[in-house]
Amino acid sequence: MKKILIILTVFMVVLSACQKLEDLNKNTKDFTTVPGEGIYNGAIRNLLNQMYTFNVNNNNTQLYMQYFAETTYPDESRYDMVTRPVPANHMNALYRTVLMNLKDAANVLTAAPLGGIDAKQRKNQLAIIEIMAVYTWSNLVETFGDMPYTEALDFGIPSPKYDDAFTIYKALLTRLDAALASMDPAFGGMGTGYDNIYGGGVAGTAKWIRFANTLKMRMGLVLADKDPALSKTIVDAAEPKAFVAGDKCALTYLSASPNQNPVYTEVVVSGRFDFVVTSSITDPMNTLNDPRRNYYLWTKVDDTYKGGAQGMPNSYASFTHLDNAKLKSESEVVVMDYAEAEFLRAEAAARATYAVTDAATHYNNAIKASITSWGGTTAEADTYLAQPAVAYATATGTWKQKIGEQAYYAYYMRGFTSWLTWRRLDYPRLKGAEKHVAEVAGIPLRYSYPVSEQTLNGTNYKAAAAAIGGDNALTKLFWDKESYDTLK
Amino acid sequence: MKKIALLLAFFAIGLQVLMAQTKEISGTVTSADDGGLIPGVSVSVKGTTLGTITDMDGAFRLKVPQDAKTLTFSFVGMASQDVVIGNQTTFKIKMTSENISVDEVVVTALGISRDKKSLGYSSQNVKEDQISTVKASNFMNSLSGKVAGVQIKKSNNMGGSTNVVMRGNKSLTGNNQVLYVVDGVPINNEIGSYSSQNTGAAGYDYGNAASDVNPDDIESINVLKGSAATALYGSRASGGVIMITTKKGTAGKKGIGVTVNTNISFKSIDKSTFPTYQQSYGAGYGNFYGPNGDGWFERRDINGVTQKDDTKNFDWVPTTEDGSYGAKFDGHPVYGWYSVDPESPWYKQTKPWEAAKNGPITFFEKPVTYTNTVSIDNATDNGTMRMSYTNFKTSDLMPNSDLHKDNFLVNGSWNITKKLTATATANFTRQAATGRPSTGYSDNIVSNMRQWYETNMDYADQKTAYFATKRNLTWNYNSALNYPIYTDNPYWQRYENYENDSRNRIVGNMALNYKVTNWLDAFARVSVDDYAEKQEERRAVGSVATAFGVSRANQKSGYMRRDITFSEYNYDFMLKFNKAINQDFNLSGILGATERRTNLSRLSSSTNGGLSVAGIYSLQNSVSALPFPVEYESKIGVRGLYASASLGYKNMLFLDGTFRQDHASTLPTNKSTYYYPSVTGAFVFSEVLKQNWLSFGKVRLNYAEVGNLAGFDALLDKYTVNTPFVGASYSLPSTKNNPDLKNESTKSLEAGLEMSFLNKRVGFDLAVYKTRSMDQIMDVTLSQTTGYNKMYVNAGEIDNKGIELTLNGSPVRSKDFSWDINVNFAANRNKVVSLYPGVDNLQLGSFQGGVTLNATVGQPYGVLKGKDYTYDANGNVIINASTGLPVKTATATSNLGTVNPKWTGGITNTFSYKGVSFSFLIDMQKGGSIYSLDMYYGLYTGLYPETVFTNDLGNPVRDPLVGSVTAGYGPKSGGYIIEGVNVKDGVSTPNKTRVDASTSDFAFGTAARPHRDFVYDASFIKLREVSLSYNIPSALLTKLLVKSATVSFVGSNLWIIHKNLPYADPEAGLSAGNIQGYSVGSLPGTRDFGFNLKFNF
Repeated sequence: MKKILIILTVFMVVLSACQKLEDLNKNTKDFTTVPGEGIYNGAIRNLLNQMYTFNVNNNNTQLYMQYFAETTYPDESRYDMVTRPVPANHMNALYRTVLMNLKDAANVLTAAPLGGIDAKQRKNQLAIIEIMAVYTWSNLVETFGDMPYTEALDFGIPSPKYDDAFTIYKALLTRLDAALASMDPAFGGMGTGYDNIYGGGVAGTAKWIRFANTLKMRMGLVLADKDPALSKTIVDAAEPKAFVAGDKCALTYLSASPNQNPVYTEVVVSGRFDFVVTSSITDPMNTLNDPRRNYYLWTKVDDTYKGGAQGMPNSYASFTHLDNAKLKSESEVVVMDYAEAEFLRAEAAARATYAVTDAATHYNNAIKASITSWGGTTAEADTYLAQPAVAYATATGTWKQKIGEQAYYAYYMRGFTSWLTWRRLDYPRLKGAEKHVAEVAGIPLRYSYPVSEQTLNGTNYKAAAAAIGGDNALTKLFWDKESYDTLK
Repeated sequence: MKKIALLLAFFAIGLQVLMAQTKEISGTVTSADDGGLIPGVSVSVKGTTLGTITDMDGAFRLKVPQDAKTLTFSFVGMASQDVVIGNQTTFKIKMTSENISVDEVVVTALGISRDKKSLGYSSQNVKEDQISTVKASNFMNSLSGKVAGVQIKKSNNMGGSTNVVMRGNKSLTGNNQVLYVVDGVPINNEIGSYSSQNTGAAGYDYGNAASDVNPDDIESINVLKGSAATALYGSRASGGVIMITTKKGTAGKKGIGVTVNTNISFKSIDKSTFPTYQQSYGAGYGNFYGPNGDGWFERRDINGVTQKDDTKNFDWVPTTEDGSYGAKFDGHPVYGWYSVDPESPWYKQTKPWEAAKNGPITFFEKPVTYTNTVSIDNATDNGTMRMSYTNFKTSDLMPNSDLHKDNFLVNGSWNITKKLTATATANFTRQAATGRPSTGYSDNIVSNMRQWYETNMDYADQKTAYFATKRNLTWNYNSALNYPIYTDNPYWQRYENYENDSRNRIVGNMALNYKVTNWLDAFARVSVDDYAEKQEERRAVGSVATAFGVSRANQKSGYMRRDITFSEYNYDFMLKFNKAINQDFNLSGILGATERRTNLSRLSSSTNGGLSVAGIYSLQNSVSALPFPVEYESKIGVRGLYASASLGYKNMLFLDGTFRQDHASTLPTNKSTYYYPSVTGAFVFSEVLKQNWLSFGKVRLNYAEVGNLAGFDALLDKYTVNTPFVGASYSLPSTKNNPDLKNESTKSLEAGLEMSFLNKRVGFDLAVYKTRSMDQIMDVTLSQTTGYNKMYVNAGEIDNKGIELTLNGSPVRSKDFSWDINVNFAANRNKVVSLYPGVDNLQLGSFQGGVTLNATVGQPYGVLKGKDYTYDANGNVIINASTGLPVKTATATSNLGTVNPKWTGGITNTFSYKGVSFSFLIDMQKGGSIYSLDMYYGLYTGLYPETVFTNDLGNPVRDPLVGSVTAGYGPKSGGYIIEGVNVKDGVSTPNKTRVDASTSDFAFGTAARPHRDFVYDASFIKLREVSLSYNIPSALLTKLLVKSATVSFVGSNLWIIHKNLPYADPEAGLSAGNIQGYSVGSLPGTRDFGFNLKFNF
């Protein structure tokens, strides 16, 4: 028995001499704390990748808006949102990889010591985060309708309820105003290397303020038909402070993967040949001799620009497509630009209830800015504008048609912007895909809610679907008062 | 013959005569069962090498030393007997057949040998010959159909992993695999592949590490299914334990034994598991090619340039396509991929428009597997020793593949003193593989064959083109850009873009046992499992871009390597006691302590943006700067203290209890220690009943709890570090960790009844069980609007209950001939009782096409969900009146079936006639669902005969629609009518709208049908194994100095008698893990034929 005790004692001593067991669980390779500006930097890249990618799993707006048609597998051009979970991927990207990170970036920055920077600069940093959060949220509401907002971004509420889209939209405008009010133009924003849109510094802050006002103007105009009085208040306040000539909010990419331009990644790097340009854009631009055709990075077929058929399979070789040789890894993506600001001003002027006037001038400015921003000359722009079919006074149709069609040509490569504009103005009168999935008979007016919400957040999903008038891609969102049957 | 044997015996004995005084003894051996004489029985003098065998009349004659005390009689299938010699010189011996269900000693948890009779839980033993006769590269595959309640899903991939689950899934998101224990020591079973592989996206199946166990070294396998049986292993054994005992030098059987085993086996494709292709239509998706977008072919001149004047153009195969919904074969000359390249053997030549003579199946090779083992063992008074070396070499169906394994095993025991014994085992395995097959949807040649292929494309032409140019001349060619579009030349892919990997592993232990008193042993052991693995993946310059490297971004070329090191050390100390308290009571038990350390480290790195110089696969050969390598380092420690006690009363009543305390490193300090008990009881009622007809009867009952720890680093959140975007860039993780985790636990109750009758000729073993697993540590899927995809929580309950039955019987048992039947059957039902508050569905996997795999409250684990048909009030399928296609449910949440089988079973019949033994195993599964992405896409692309038929009007279904439903269809109309109803204003009318099947758009597959159509019943009945073996009579062999020799012919997976999944094997899984029920691009199943020779010297 004594022997046993000795053995046991030795064993216990050996055991207790070991390190504390829980120390093994320390992760020595990964970071528990990182700088807030780095989180912001990651979130912005995630956001703009998602907004501008051509990947059919993530973003189909350039297909819905018929800038591009697919070659062999036209499922997404026929509004299939299930086979590839596009709505889920959009929601995941925006909530998780953008908004949650922006929220965290703000928390980390708020908690971090100032470390030599001025408290006012810190406020500017937080305001920049807030502006991009509002931009992201506004897209979600404009894309889906009602969405989780007040209970969102909180892991403590695994199944958040959906909030009314209009209520969210108003809350976003309030947040945007608060952010603007907290900004001090005398101070800079994010540190070097973290603000890849405006580069930080005092000059950057002024640009952020003008971007925020341009965004505010657009959000105001989204409400034009829903709540004219509110719309007027917002637009009249924002318009004078919005973009001036030369302004744009854009992100320039880098030469190496994974920070390459998302269109370049999908079209060139992928090695695939999935898209041709659609006749919906080539035909009218050919008719109008649009100079931008030569700058839109297109190939020619038989010495001309020949678009493929939307919603149908197309032979890559037979139609105009993106010229891989002209696409660049470093190319920028444009979030908003002066051309858009001027189209918005033209619209507000045409509606005639807002402070801004002279729709024709803003219309001309917008088109000129669009042509020159793609590399066209002022002379080319002037020639183009001189055509009776383009000139504001003589172009066909109502102001909605004139602005809608010209904005459509200008918003090439900016699927979400174009889709929003088309749904608001109902022009150009794009025709929906004749062959389409049974559930979506016509060009979508929203993304249907993700399948993952049906399975993971079922009760709230059902309530939201009922609240917006049915979870169908053809359900009109709260601000969308008119539409036309795109299949007729 | 008899004379030779006797002569030899005489010769052997003669040598002995020189050394000792001898006497001659003789006798006969008969069977106690039927009284027949038994030839070939080994007769030896215990403790010496002296011996002989009985002749054809069951008689023997032997000279033995005067002081010889005991004779040992042994014969396969009979209980060995020791007979005291004394003054006797003639012996009449009766031998009884050995019945393995009684008096069987089995190895239980911690390597403790127990009399099976005394166990209060179910365990099932598998003998050496059942594993090593029919060889499989992964020994787990040999268990298929042999053990009740164990579900085994193998992959057809070379060295691929095997999914082994016992008694249903108990963990919602954790590991449900069984624990493998070799000679008392757990070994690692890390699954070497990555999440994109086992979710069916893309990647290689690197196998699971337990497959390193060499089947030739296995003496027996004992399967411990319930928690009570495995409670002492605690945490890791909640999925059950497969206890492997390796061969040792046998004490008592003195002398040097040499065994040589050589095995060669061949594989041939089971054609029922590979597509049959339609032979009428070729490349394309419809008539939208050519300059006007209305032709079935592209129109170009001989240089591949489209001329404005169409009369100068010729028909070109639409090589940018990868479907077979194009022009009807008519034999007219067409240009194609083969006409383009100046180095192509068919440059500027045409080929007739016809179905390929050499279809995809001709791409596969005929794999051969060689296994050679030599082992030597010896036993002396001082101990035992066994050494073995196995060389295993195999190739795959895929060209340019091979897998090579060397396995060295040494084990021995040394009686240092009378009381102190040392044992040691060292097993070194070296494995090297080249060209494992790709799996999943992307970058997989077999996915192309099953989903994306042009039926006119001849594989022999691709082979010729590749070997003539060593370039990527692919059929899927974009002539506009002179570049492959979606798919590489398959030979290019196999010979240029191959992977290779290697693993060196040592598994071993050293133990000391000290006999403190005659009833108490102290035992200490150190064991190690340590390996280093290297995996290299490459893409040659000129390939199609695909997700590659650590970032999984699309890359046209690249190199990636992963270095993995793993080590696990277990330190055990035990006090084992076994004491008879009085005549009736016996108490035995263990007090033990154990300490485990597991370290896993992985480093992955890859080139970025392609390779600078073609042909050099090195990280330095990167176009852009390398992305950050991915480092992973996990360390887990567990400290356990345990006690077990067994009380036996009159060899009739047995009561066992165990108690274990675990302290785990992965839980928060205040919750890191947890406890769990088990109690089992067994009552051998045949000891009380004592009926003639009842040979044995036992009831057993047990209850057990098992705790389980969290995975490494599940407590604190970590940021993801992105490649810098000018400045540093970080992101929150997609999974929210939880600092308040506690252990999970499983409670189980099991009862069993074991009986045998009629002198043990018939018997059964029945087990029923119920388990409830609670507080599961799971990464529950959240609505993404929470800002996370997943979060670790302690939640969820899952119940499993089931029944397992094994039956054995011997309908015929005579002197020369015997027929034995073994049947096993198991059914398990599981149900997800709850998940996390506010969460009633857990998405386990999401498959291409929109089908998901789920755990849903109130339903079994593993429910496939997707879109279903819709029905009117009378249950008729609703058809859209304008398209003729079924109206699908609005949401993709319809239950399309569960992946769990209703029941599984196996029947083995063994016939023995003298030295010849013939057996076959039929293995079956009833129920279970499987979603086939192959059919989802393959019908859409028009590959299968189901897309070519004559419609109700007598026209080819692919002909264009003539007319319309309102105007009426012409007699020449193509298309087909789906039975169902159109519903308008609540009124159902029979559907008369024809589906337009003239182009692939909405004809078949994908968009045309709800997911329901692509979910199949996974039932099967298979002739799993057939073996014919012959024990060459030892009389024939003695002059060759061979003790015994066995020749056997084996066949496995010879015939799928029944299945419902078209063109694929319902068992062919992606990989081991919780994602099951998905058929995508799996290799065809093979029939394996082997030839085995075994000699004992």
